Amino acid sequence: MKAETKNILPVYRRSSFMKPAFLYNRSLRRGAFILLFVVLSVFAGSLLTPHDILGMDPVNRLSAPNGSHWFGTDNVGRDVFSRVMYGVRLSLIIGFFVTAISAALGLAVGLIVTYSKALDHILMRICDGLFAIPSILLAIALMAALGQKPINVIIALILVFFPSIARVVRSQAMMIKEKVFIESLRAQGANAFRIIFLHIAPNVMSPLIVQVTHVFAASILIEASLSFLGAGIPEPLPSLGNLMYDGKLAIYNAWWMTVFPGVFIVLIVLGLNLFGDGLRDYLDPKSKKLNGLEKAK
Amino acid sequence: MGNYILKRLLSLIPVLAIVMFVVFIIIHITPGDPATIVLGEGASPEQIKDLRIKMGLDAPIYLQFVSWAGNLFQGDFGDSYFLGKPVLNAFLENLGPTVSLAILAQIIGVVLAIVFGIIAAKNKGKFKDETIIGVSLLGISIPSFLLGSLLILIFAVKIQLFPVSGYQPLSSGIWGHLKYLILPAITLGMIQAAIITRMTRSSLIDTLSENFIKTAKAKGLKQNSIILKHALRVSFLPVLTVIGESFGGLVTGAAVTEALFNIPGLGQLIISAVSRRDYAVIQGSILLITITYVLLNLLVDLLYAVIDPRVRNSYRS
Repeated sequence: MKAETKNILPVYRRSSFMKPAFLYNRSLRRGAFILLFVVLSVFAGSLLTPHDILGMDPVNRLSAPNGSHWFGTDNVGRDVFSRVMYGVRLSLIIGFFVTAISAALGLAVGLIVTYSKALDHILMRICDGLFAIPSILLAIALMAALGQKPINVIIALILVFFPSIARVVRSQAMMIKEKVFIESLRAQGANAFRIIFLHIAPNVMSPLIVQVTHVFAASILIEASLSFLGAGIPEPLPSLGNLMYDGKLAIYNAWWMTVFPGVFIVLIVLGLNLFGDGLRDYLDPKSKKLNGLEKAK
Repeated sequence: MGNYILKRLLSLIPVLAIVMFVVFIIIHITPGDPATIVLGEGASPEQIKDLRIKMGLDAPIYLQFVSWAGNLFQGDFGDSYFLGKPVLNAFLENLGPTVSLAILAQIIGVVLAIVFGIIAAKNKGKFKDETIIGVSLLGISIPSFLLGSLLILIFAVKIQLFPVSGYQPLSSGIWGHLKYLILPAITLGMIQAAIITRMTRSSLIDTLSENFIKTAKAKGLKQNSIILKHALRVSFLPVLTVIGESFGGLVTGAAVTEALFNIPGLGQLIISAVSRRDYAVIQGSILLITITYVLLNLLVDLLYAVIDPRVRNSYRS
């Protein structure tokens, strides 16, 4: 009679054959889903907008959500729905440019300082100084200095955020620089430029990308706060923060002026945070993921 | 240990110098001449020129910086022409409400965070945990003015439990003082709680997987006892760091919440100064706030060294 042998070795199987590995991460999926939802709804919303974002209609002011004004009207009769859609687009565009440019700037600064002690001292001191000033205050001060135009919001936020990216890049680059393979590259005769851009740069991408998603989320929040304080996007251009400011003034009578822009801000930032968390878990080499392989129970 | 403190204090100097520089540059590239703003459009050029000399604006830029910096070291942050008093005084007057708000908010945040962090870690993976993670994520995604607006809508407009906005100083009685601060403190406190809960939860989860916890379980200690008496103390270190760092952000970031609830704190001071081009106040307050922030971070680091013997001993050579 054959003795029954228990299979004591764990059996690994790939749970879904052709699925890209990053879709396994729940946070990533949900974050991406929320973001996609926001982008698509804004796309759709802008196509369906029957009303002018600046068109005032005092007769219908402060009316609750109804058939022709899906999100109601504000205190001068403007259609809140179209304004919210525009505001979301504006915030996303500003967030995108701020993030992209400060990422590029931060990456450049972070990489360059690994190779020059002098530049390291100067540039990192500047970054430390900028970093020490609390973001909102620095943004307010910069907006006061540059003048209230949308382009200046982008410039101000870039100055606020690039130091944090530069720091992350620098600390990762410093670590990589000490590794043996860099030394061997130098022995083979590679010049500094080549080493920095072809070898160190790809290895700083992981923490950089995670930091970049945080910066995107933060830039949306800070832009909204700036506009809420009246120091950001100038009236009457609708930004999510401006809309909340208008909503605050009419909060007794018109909850829709506050709730709808607010919901969109939360969705965007939530989506970005989820995506960032998921990305961090996915890219973290220390986590116990099995890269798509799951133990058969 | 004293050596460590000294070295840290010294490293602050270049940072503060850069901050002074940055603040000065920012303010001075701002368009708009303060003298013209004060006197109004109808003023004659001589009047403007006289006022400029009186305000010290005629001197070359680097001399203005040097004299400003020099005054700084003597504790003179300049006088606000608009407010008619020294900047330092204006700052100290507006400091009270902001600090009250920040302390109240942080207490609420820490208490909520510890409670929910423990619940989340105990029920890791289950529904309670998932809910807490979800709500924390929501908490860090919501801007403070939105949460504040919603709380105002619910608690001050619909159910008229608390006042919508305004402030009463401590001297007018503790209950009145608290009444006006509760809604803003809950607003900020909930956001703080979200930040701290995430750290508490993850730190506690890491600690609970350590060997000494297994020993405690093997000895037969009840789970609550293990968590409260052993695991919590160990996992508290990173939580403390987060508490310290977020407190600095709280004091400074309360600006927006103060604007919403109409609290005469530092945030309002700076915002009104910016719209009036009150150079002295802007420079002085940003500088003072940054100094406070930097010193707070230093304090947290030192506290870390006091609490964790490992950090203390690594500086013992």
